[in-house]
Amino acid sequence: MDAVALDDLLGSSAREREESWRYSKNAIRALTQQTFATAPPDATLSAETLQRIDLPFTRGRRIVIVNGAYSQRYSNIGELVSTIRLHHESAQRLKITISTGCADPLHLVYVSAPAGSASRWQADCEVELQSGSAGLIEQHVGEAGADVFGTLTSQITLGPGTVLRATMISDIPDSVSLLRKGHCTVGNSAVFAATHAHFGGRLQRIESRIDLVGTKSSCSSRGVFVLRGREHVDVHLDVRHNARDTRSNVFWRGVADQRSRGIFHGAITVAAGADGADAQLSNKNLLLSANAEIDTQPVLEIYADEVKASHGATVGQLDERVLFYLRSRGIPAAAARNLLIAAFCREVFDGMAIDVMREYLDAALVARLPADAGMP
Amino acid sequence: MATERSQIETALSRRYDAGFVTDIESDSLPPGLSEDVVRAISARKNEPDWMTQWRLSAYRHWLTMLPPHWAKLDIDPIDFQAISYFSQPKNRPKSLDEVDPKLLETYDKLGVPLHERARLAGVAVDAVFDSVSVGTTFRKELADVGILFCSMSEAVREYPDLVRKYLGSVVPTGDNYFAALNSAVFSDGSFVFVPKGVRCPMELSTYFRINARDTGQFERTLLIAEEGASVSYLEGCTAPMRDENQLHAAVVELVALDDASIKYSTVQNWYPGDENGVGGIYNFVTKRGDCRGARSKISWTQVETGSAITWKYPSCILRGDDSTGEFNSVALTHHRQQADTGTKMIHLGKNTKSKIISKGISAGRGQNTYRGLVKIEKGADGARNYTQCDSLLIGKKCGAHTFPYIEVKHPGAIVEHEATTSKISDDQLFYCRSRGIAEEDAVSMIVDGFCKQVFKELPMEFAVEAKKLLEVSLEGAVG
Repeated sequence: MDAVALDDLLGSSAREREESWRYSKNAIRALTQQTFATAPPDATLSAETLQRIDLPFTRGRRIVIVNGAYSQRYSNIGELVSTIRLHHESAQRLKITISTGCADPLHLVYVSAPAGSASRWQADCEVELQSGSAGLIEQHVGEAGADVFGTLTSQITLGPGTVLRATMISDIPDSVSLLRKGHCTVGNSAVFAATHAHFGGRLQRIESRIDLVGTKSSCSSRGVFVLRGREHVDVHLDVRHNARDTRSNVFWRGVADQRSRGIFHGAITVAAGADGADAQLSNKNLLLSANAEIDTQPVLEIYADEVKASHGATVGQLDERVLFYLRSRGIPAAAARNLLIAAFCREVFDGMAIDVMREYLDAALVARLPADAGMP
Repeated sequence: MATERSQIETALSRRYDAGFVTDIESDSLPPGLSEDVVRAISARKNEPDWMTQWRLSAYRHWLTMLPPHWAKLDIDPIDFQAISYFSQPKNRPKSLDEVDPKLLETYDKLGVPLHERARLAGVAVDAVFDSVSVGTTFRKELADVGILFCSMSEAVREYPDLVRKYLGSVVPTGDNYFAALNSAVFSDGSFVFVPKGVRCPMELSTYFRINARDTGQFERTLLIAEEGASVSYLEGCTAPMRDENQLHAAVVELVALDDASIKYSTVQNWYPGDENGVGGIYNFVTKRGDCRGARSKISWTQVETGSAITWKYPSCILRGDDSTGEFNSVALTHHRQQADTGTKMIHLGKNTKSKIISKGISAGRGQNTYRGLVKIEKGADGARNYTQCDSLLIGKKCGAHTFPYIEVKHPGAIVEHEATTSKISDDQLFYCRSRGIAEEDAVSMIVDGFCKQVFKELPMEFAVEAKKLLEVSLEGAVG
């Protein structure tokens, strides 16, 4: 891999890199030592993938990026064009401008497709919402057998008074690695509401920086990761309150089973002068196996005094008494476990604006639980 | 409001009360650090060869290390060659009665009359004046029950087997940059050994003072509680006013064997520098306790109001099954003080428990950081941790930061962390004032309430001192 490009991804100073990659050091080192070819942009997608990206509520309209490049063949943006402008300087650089809000969510799909040997893609996506409210779904899928390392830089700009509901779902096999650097700038009185669901991955590094630059702007970040096998997910949230009367709410859940590793880093910074800030962060994790590991690091940096900020983090396991109760009612142990794990994660999806989206995420979640046990 | 403001400004620009320099001739080494200096320190203290070699190996290791950079602190580079590594008052007294009256006067000015306090409160004091212990009281009483309480230099000479067995076993010489430096040049400190089954009949205490100019003070404390023993140790510090930054890099090691319990309390009030951040002590301390035995318990309590920069993480290694670690802390930063402090709880044994209560108060331009690690290792079945860290902000220009690290490798563990940051609410103040309580008193009352959880862990006499310290430090900080 190109060493210079990697420097940009990992953070420039040695100190920054050391702290930021504290828990994913080995995982990223293994990736940097591997040789990757450039992933072919014109891969043909399997029927299974096509089915997976066909979400029931987008009416077939989507923007598909295969191995980092915009794919004319699989995208369908026909009716969207009136409110949405799509520019691409190159296949790898997308710029989407939404002039006024639209009722249907914009569906962006990133597919990692196999290439015969280890390969790598890199893509850039900029979204600007100028007015009104809009929905955005960013979906990452990996095809079976794909040995791919994808990096995505995503920049979202929200104009004054806008509302963006974003859903980020990644469900990738453990041969695919994904490094996603997101940055959202929230203008005056604008609202950024993000819901994440991350499953799988050899290494998934989800960085999400949210800058509340406008007065009375607010954001929420709700998310869940459910891991098994040797999957490794590293979530880095960085919420910055830079203006007066801003609000943020972070609510994340994590589940790690078998030999997986889940990392949550949630930083909230309140800059000097950002009075009236209200910041809440909650992170709870379930550690289900003796070989799995959870590392959590909620961080507060406060430089203003008219502030309400709090965070809470826990790591624990399923409550034996509750399991016993369910079993005493005739529910098999494995099914009872599934029920409790799903309930633990579902809290994240509460209050989602689009019911069908919540149902879709819920189905994806349930699919991640041990199948033979089933749900009661 | 205008008069209030001026009162506040007067109170805020208050000078450091304990700032004075006692004029006693010091026997110091010239500034600089080399193997020869390490040897010279060792020679002056008449140390056996193994100790000299131990120091030298630490020094050689230190040369290969770099100062830690991860803390949220703004530190000017320290010129280690500009520091004198050894200083002791001349004419070392044999007993308290022979102690230079000027020196005792110094303690008096601080409100710590050594004789009186020791007698009245039943406290045995091992007072460290600069780098050498000048007097030790109650040693006989302690010796009667088999407790060894003496200076580190004495311990090296008289109990070499114990020292060799335990010194560096909790904080190895190469543990970190400042611990390595301390291991090479440590001047003196306290040594406590509580044998099997003995409950220490009194609170043990040491008063540290930095006095001679440009002298780094490198204390080394080693405290061992054998099976079933218990001991409570108090440590308090104040330092005179000074314009150059002074380095204080101490190492404290605690060892608790089966069923032993150690309570270690600190009130730290080193000179914090003036309101512009000139001068003040650099307090870079490595404190670590090893719960080596089953059912052992180590409890750290600290009240940190002084020092220009504090870098300190009293930790517990919970090695023995069913062992318990506790950390209770109040840290206050005012003017341009910076503190990066917290704890580490390393759970290795089964059913180990730890509790962390941290209260940070920032005022003026102070920056206060809590940094804590809770680590549950693979064998720590049934481990339990609860952490609460709260920050209180007083003023527009200060900062309060929280950096917890939670690493869990055992599915049988329960770890909980909670943190809040807020300022003193106008409602609380208004309520108090409407009841006729002056604003200053209201603030100190609210701060006292904020810190209560920690103060109640302090031994009586320390609790009073700590409360007073906070009151004085925060006079008029709310406008």
